Order: sequence, then C-alpha cells, then structure tokens
Amino acid sequence: MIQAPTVRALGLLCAGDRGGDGMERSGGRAEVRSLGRPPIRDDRHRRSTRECLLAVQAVEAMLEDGRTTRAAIEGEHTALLYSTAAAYAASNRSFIEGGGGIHFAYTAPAVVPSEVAIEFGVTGPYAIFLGGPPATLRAIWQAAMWLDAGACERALVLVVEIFDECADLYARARRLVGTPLTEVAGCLLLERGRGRLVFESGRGASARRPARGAAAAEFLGCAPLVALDRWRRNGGAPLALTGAWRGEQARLVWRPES
Amino acid sequence: MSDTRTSLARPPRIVVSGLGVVSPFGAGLKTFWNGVSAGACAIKPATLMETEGFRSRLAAEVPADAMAALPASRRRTRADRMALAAASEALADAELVGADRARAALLVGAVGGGMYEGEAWYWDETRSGQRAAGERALRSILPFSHAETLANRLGVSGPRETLVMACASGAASIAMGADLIRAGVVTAALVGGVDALTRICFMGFNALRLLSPEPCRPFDRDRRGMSVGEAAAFLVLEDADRCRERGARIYARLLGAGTTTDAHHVTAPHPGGEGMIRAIRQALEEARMAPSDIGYVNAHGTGTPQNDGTEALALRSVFGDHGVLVSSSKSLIGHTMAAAGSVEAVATVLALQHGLLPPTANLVNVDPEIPFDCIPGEARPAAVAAALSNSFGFGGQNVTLVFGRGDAQ
Repeated sequence: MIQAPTVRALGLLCAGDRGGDGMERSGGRAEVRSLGRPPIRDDRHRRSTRECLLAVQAVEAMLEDGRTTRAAIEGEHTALLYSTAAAYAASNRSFIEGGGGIHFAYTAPAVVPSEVAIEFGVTGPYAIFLGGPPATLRAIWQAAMWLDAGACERALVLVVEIFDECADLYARARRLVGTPLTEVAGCLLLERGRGRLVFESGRGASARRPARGAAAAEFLGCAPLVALDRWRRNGGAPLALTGAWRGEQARLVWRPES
Repeated sequence: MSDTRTSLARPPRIVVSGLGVVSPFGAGLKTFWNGVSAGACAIKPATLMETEGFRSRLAAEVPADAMAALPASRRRTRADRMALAAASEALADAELVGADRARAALLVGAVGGGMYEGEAWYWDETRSGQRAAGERALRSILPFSHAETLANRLGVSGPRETLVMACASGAASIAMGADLIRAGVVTAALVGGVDALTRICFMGFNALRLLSPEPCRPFDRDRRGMSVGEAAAFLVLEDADRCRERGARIYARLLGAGTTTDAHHVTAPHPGGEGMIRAIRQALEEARMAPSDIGYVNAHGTGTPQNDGTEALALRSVFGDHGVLVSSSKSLIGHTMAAAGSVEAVATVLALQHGLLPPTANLVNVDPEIPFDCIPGEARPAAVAAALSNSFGFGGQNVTLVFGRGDAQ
C-alpha cells in the first residue's frame, strides 16, 4: 500500500454521452460511437492525428473541471502517464496504406502524450502503458507511487481510445472486444491525498469483462475513467476501480485513513 | 488476486539476478557478450525486407540459423519467439521458480509487436482485394501480445505491463519494474524489451532520412545516421534480501532511475539536451551518487548527427569534458528500438561484472564536439564501480538507469 492520491479533476470526452456525433454503424463494421475530429486551432497541430487532438481537448476539459490553469500543470513537477489499447491503430493503418499522408512519427503511440507535453509544457516523470483497463489502473498506481515518493507534485493520467477508422477490422475481432465501441478521451489530475491505495493484480477473468459500472459499452482502456466519473457524480465509498483484459485482471482500492 | 502490503519504512534494494538475450549476434547471453566484448559489428545487408531504393540497405538482424533454432509455433510472431527465448533464459539464469516466479511482475517494452507479420497480412489483403487468411496476425499485431505470450508460457502471473515509450521502452520497463519492487507489490520482476524488424519502421526512418548508408558510426565526425536492428533482452530484478535468501547470484545492483520528457518536438530532442540532463541527474540523485562516482556511460548513441550531438551536450553538462568513458552498443548491434534500453542495460551489467567496457565500432574520427573517450574499436579493461545506461526515445522520452557492481556493498 502507498499513500492514496486525491482526484483533483477529471476531464472526459465520451462519444454518445457528452458531445461527439454518436454515430453507430454496422454492415461489415463494428458498431462505433465516434467523437469525430476536433477542429485544428493552431498551425502547430496541422499534422496531428485525431487522437492527439482529442487528448489535448481532454486535458482542457480536465482544467475546466478542476477550475485550474495551464500554468498550474506546466513544468517538471507534473508527471504525465498515458494509457491506451487501440488509439494508434488508425495511424498505423493509414501509414501502411500510404494514402493518408501521415508523418511516420504519428504512427507511434507515444506521439499522443508527446503532443500533450508540448502543448501544456509538462516535463516531469513520464510513462506510457499499453493494454486495456488494467493498463490504466497501472498508470494510476504508477502516478500514485511517484506522488508518494515525491518524484512529482501532481500527475496527469491521460487515456484515449478511438475506433472509427478501423471499425471493419474490429468487426472481425468480435471475440476480443465488446460493443458498441465507444470513443473516449479522458484526463485525470491526481495530487497527494490521504488514506491508502491498494493495487491488486492477477490472472483470470474473461478478456472482455469491462470495468465495474461501465458495462453498457466498450471503452477499452478508458473504462476505469468512465467508472471514476460515475463514482464522482453518484458518490458511494470507498472508491474501487476494476478492470480485466486478455486474461489479466486488476483492481485499485482507495482506503480511508484508519 | 494477490494483495501485497509491505511497509515502505525501508524500501527494498534492487538487484539483477538473471539475464537473457537474443541479439544480432545470435541467441544467448554468452553469444551476446562474446560479440560485444570483441567489438564485432553485426550490421549487414538486410534480408527480411526489400530495400531497393532506400537510403540504407543494411540492418542488424538476428541470424537466420539462430532464429531457426528458437522454438517455433504458428501462433507466435518473430518478435514473440525472440522474447520468449530471452525471457526464458533470464528466468533460468536467475533460477527463479515456484512461487517466486508465479508472483513476479512482468514488464515488457515493445513497439512493433507482431507488425512484421501483420503488415504482410494487411498488404496481402489490400493488394489482392480479397479477404486474406491468417487473421490471427490482427490479434498479435499489438505490442501487448508479447506480455500475454510470456505470462502464459512462463507462468509469470503477477502484474503484467507493456511499456510503449519508443526507443526508451526497454529501459522504462526496468525503471517501472524496480518501482513495483520498491513499493512492495512484488519481490521480483521479469523486465525487458523486444522488437523485431518491421517494414513500417524501416520505411519510416528512411523517410526521415535518419538511416545510414553504411554501418552506423556513433560519435564519429562523419556519422550519417542510424542502423536499424532487432533484439530481445530481459533481466530479472529482485528485492536484494529475497535474492540473498534464495542464494541466487547477483550480477549487479540497480541503484537509480530517472524518467523525464522534453515537451519540445515529436521527433527531435531538445537542442540543449535539457530533458536528458534532468533524467541523468534524477537517476544519480535516486542512486545517491555524484557524477564522479560513475565510471562508464553506455550511451543512447544512435549515430545520427542530432542525437549524438545533443547527448554529448547533456553528458558534458553533468560530467564535464572527458569526465567519463562513453560507448555506444548500437555501433555493434544497430538500434534495436524498444529492445535497445534493455539490451544496453544487459551490456552495462556485464561490463561491470567483467570489468571490461564495450567499445564503439566504426569510430575513426571522433567528432571534436564530443569531448569524451568513446572507446573506439576495442573493449577496454576497467574496473568501474557504477555505470549509466541512457535511453532517449522519439519525442523526448528520456530514461537513465544507474547500475552498480554486484559485489559492492
């Protein structure tokens, strides 16, 4: 156990829920609720992929939720952790097909947090986890460890999942993912808190079991943030987040100070 | 699920108790060290992909006979097979068995995943216009498939992570594995990285004009870029007390790690090496060491004009001119991408153990802007107590590791 972080703010863009065109498709494509493509506001983002733009928007939504500023997260005392299962499939497909004019750098999952780091000037400890919900829980745990160890004063946990560009491929992988595939971009701001945080991890559970409280759609790595958002709105304690992915399950429990 | 609750009053010290490598020199730790210590260059004409018209036609591939000797399965990708061989060797080397193995964490640095097979499948389908057979390529294309394969095949059932931090992925897996041990979540972690050559990677670096037409020559005045390679390397990290209790061998101590990001550009490093400097200083601070305590730096050393120049600036800032011995393993085995951080960590650990510092191959005229002894050509006997391993990924993802000799107190 380590000292639990406090959830200072959460920005969540969820298709079909808060914005986005909410479209659903079938006929050789998996059902997808898409967030669409945010407008490009700055020439620096002219090459940016959809997932990068959504990530920047998610951080802005988090700042708004926390009534805080860009200056408050700038610098080396802010850690940045990113988790995704699928957000770079679209850019890799585009690069392989050669028709999208995509820059090679944008095929890397790392480009998403890199764009966020550049946009907001975040230069502290840094990590990128790949996987489903357990990877996001692990990112939160890593953030908590860095906060506990004094490696940073605050941590951003960024998660983006997009599906629309590869809906036909997901339709052929129905055993692996639930439906409707719902695009989400979220950013969590964590600071040192009270109480203890317990992380549990082990083998078992089905590949498709979603995080608790998020069973109505497939959010992949964003499921823990969707569940956290619901917990914040509906209350209930203590906070516990669970997730399973391809034979692994994980759980994070916030325990109040005794 | 296991719930480990350990007091953090005295964070555990971390040691390296097992090593395993599949590299362009072949399979196995001994083969790797023989190649590294001999200063052999394994960068040769590429055979795994068509390179006609590219800036470079070279790559550091795992030799075909070594690949053929690795256990095969229709379900396993080239990268999976490399990872499985290297991870198995590391576990066997550490003699990590029973509950110690079952509870261990597994952290894999990966980028390409099963892309070598996936891109072939995808092109086959798009060019033929017909649905291609072998859809399992879709399932294994994503980098977390390695961790799934390793966990299932090797019975490592603790927390399972896939770190995707470009060229710093393998080093990041080592840093984060150590964090899990320090936090008391596990007492052992199998950590490392893997990447097989992929066409997408070769095409991408070719498009960026970063590939060298000749075998790369890091730190040379006339360097022209990098050489792409492939490898898998794994280490077993352990709580030092538990390792001694088991009576296992200690190769080295992992004394510190630093991770930072530049927030500067999606491909280029910060021109002043600002993020690199902070990563190195963080790692030294965690190790409670001064720069003068470090005898050797296994540099990121890609051979591109920009990387080597910036890394030299960072090293000058921390160590001063001529303040430390430096070499680049990439001159021997190419840039093995997500595996690079862990392969080079293994080279660093072995250098400490053997008291022999790996050389930089192909280095003829040292760049005057790089004021360090870069150990040209031949390995250098030197009993250093502690060494750094630098890994600096695309987009300014910086990881520095500090290792100390295993026999030191």
